[in-house]
Amino acid sequence: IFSRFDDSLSPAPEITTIILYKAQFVGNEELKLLSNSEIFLVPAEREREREMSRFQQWALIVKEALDKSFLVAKFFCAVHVTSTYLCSTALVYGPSMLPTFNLSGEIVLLESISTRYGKVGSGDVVIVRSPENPRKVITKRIIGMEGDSITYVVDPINSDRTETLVVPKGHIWVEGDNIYSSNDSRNFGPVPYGLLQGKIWPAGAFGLIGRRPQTVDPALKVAEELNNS
Amino acid sequence: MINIPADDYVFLEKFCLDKYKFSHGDVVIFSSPTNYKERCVKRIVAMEGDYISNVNGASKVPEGHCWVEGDNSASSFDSRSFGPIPLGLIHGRVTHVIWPPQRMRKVDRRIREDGLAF
Repeated sequence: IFSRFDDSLSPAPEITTIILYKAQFVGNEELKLLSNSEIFLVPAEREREREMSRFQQWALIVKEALDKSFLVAKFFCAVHVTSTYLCSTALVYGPSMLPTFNLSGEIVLLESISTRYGKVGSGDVVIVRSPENPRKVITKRIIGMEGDSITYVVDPINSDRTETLVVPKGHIWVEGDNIYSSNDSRNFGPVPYGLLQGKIWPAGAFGLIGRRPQTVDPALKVAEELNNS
Repeated sequence: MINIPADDYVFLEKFCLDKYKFSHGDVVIFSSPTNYKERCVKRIVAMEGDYISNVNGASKVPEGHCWVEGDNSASSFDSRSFGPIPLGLIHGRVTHVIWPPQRMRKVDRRIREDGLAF
């Protein structure tokens, strides 16, 4: 018995057909064909079928995994772009902005669009990169923009001495709401506008961030007005 | 202006902004302290804590700041006019000139021997 594979006779490509010939040696050289039968080789067929669908299944799983990971990557990209260029959150803590922000920390919304287009003004609470340490960001209120004349109390704890200066071009003057415990422009001078990172938003809608609360002694204000007039 | 005249396009490296770690001689791009919309390109001559020799003695560069000067000292609007700049204004470090093709080259750190007072 010998056999040969004949794919051309197969009813379908995935089915292997083996044709078996039954022959008999007549004498020493002659070979007589007795009968032939076609056998459909079922185990091989199933094997090949399983292999094909295994590959297809694997391809399907890989495609779905890639789609999901692309979706996650796109989400992270969107979050990064929004947080860098549009809107982000910040944790403000410390005593320098009492009573506007409390001591232990508050999470606020920070938007960078206004600062990029120069739409900030006096009275806004902003986040600036510290001129003393560029790896730190600080939260203060803008007291004056460029060209404004600022009168500030140099050291409110010890004396009532005030000084006046004009904010130079391209700079802003920032002070914390709690001038008794705030390291601000009174210490490091006017801050270049390019250090602004963003504006705390919304200003006033929640009723918490509004005009600067009066932490300066009213008697001092009267003395100031007398000095200016 | 530094040795990059108008219309040169440069490659800017921002990894140094992670820790704001700069060295003497780096060419950096920063927002001008007089107009935040403009960007200037200058070389860092002195870092915080160094002394700069001025006409009236030596002055110390405050912490968190750096002193920048253009390579072309004669016509350069730099720290000799607006003083030391805070490091937070820097947008990145220039590593290569990438356009026009005949000016393509690596921009190296170059330290000047004069200008610093010890």
